[in-house]
Amino acid sequence: MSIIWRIFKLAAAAKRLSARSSNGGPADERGELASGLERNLNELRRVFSHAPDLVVRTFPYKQAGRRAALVYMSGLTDKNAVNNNILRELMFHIADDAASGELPVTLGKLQTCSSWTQVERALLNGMSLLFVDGMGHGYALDTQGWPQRAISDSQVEPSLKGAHQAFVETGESNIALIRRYLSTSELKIKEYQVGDRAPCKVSMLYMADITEPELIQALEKRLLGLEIDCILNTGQLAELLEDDPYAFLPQFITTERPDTAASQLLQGRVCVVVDRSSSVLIAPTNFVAFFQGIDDYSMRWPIASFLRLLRFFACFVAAFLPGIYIACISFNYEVIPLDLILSIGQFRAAVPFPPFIEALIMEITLEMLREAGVRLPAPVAQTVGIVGGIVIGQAAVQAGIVSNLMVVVVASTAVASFIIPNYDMASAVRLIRFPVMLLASLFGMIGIIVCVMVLIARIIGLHSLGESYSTPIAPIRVRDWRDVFMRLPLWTMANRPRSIRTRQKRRMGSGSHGGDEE
Amino acid sequence: MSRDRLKPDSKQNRITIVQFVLTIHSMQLGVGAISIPADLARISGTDGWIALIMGWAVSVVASLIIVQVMKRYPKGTILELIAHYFGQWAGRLTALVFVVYSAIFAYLILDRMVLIIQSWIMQQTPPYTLMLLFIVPAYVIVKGGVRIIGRYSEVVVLCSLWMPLAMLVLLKEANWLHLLPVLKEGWMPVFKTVNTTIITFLGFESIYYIYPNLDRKRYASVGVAIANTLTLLVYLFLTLICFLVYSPDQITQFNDAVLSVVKIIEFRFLERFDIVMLTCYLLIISKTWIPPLYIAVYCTKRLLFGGKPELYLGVFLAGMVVVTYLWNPDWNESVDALKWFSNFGIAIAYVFPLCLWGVLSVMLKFKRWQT
Repeated sequence: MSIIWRIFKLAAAAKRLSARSSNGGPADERGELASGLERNLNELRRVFSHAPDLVVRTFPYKQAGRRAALVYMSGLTDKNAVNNNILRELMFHIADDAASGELPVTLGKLQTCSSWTQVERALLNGMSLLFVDGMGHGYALDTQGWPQRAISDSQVEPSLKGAHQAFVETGESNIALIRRYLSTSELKIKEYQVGDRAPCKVSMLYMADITEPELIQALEKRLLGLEIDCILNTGQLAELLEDDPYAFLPQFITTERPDTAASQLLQGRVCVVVDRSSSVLIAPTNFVAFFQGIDDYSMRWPIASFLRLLRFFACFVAAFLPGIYIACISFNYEVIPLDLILSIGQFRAAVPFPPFIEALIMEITLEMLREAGVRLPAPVAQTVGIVGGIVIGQAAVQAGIVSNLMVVVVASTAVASFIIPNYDMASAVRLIRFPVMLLASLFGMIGIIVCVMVLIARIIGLHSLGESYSTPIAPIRVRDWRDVFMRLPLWTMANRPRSIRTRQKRRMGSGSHGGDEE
Repeated sequence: MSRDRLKPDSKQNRITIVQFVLTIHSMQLGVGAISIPADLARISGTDGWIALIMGWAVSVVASLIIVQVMKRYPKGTILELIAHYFGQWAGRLTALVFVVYSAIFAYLILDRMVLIIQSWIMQQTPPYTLMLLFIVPAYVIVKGGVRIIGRYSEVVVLCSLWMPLAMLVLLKEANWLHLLPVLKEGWMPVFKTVNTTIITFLGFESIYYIYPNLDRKRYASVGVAIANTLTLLVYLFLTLICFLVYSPDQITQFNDAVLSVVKIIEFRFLERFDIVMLTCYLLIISKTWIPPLYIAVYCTKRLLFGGKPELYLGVFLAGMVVVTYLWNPDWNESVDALKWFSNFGIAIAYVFPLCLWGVLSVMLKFKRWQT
């Protein structure tokens, strides 16, 4: 499969190359700005034809005694800043040291643009562009202010004791939220533009003194190698960056929670913040990391450990319980004692379908209910719950379509799949149970064990950013286990987990700030 | 499988010492464990367990010799070592021998596994269908090379730790008098059994192929000793449990004594615990025949000057199914074949390293070959 993938990639690369050469080079050669104001404005109007939200305001620039024009996109800018901090200052104000040539603008961020590409990008990102007659460059003024959602509690990953702030759709705010947790200059940020048509700002965050440089380079290489016209959200980016595009398991964690992101950064992982997306990508990751929740660290450790074990058990139940039930009922019934099988038989006597079909009907109904609930507005979603619970659950049994026991099995599977804290992993586990059910109905227990083997083989063969996906279970790193199946007291975790390669091994006690003593 | 998966020395194929130990242990422990109590009891009664310890001693010595041999050329497998000291053609001949050996090894164990499944769980299903099921995971694992095989062994060992614990329940049926008197018929029957027990330790010859992948080679000797000891402990545990539960005469009547003894365990919600146990034990058996499959693929690639490892792997797996479809060996044929094969195994794992070690030691006395 990997070969087919490689051929695809090669072909795509060749295509791009030929397309590029015929276009006469990338967009950077759109030209430089002219020095005449009118010429610049005409060019601007030509580029932004059919853009009613483009505002062009010409005015006399008092300090220089020339005409100037301020250009901005009306929906993407903060009107207050435009009116008060730019226009008012430029039109009426003369600075005391006018000779210095400083722009009399009371804004923090200011940069000069000399090419049309820069102008276009700045304008579309909510900056205001100032053109002055007779100048061969424009000024991009930071007046960004697009419609934004208030910072609220996380919808997808709610927590009981953790912080109630979740990421929003603006990259800068998200970085600020992370910085609030990690107020150290060791938190480094590298910025990239991803997407040819509509570039998206992607920032890579890492702790310079903890994170292994090889990981940063690996991720950087992949980010720079991306060729796509536009990315809309983090999930899309994750799919483009991941190691094995055919795997069904998520290879990166995406989170909405700044505290989770900060804790992962402190463990030596790299964080990718995508502008316009409210979730953040964390790499590299491993299988067990999907079963850790941020609440685990704010609870008493015995309770947290119990919850951890419960989650792993739930994962097993969600993937295998329907399969095991089918295998026991239709294939290996000698495993069940006689009395028990007789009473099961009583339930099943009225059901016309074989167990596999029966399970399939219930599972698919359940998945439909779940999907319906997700997409519906909250008040209607309650109706779905009632319809699902009463009508389908109870009536299906009374009508003899499914047996009582099957409802119990399917319902516990559903509950189990809700326990897995990460949504991506939970959906992947939900998917696993269909092939398991099929093989269980064809080959019984043997079918299930074959599924287990394939599953193990896939998990141990996966990599996330080149690192093993199955650590610390395979390769075994027993020292890391104090934060895998159990969550032992925090003082036992004085060292950072070994399963992520880090520059700094110690996290607590002496030397945790200045790094390892060599 | 990208081609560098087969390069033993490359960084991404390195295995840890735990993986090294467990891979060797995995290849040793497999179908043999199910029948060994009865096999021992038939020859030397309840003193068979003493023979196990002797077999262990012999296999530890043989493994240590293999490690000594491999130290002479730590960058490569046995094929590169022989090619280095004795020339390309000798290397190719060795590759041929190992292709045949490993392919037969993998096939016979897989076939035995399928036969066990057939006789205990799925009487109606033809063996080749069952085989067809297992080639999927085997393909995925072997494709990943030594490192994935090592990881697989780790996961499987972790997943099966509950099994000996579950078997401890049987101790309440135990009758310790069955073991007494120790050495009731003297040492002779015990010595006769050693022949059987050293076969059960076969599998450490995988050192030939995984030694160059080992990360920290100075622990190799300790590693092989631990691997053999682990295998010994499992065998001893199973044998003693069977001897304790069944009387000395009764035990000889069971072919798969370990499974029969598990049958005794029963719960109110679960009868036939042996079926659950056997199903889970299939994981352990699977890691017996997957490493030789890898070795076969590796040697084929050496023999045919490269080429696509996936293709060879596919051919081997398909070949196994086809052979089973055409030949369909029954239980007795499988037993005979394994008996015949064990001679081959003794030659490869015990005699061959000894000779090689002798020859190399003498050779390296002379300056000419010291490279």
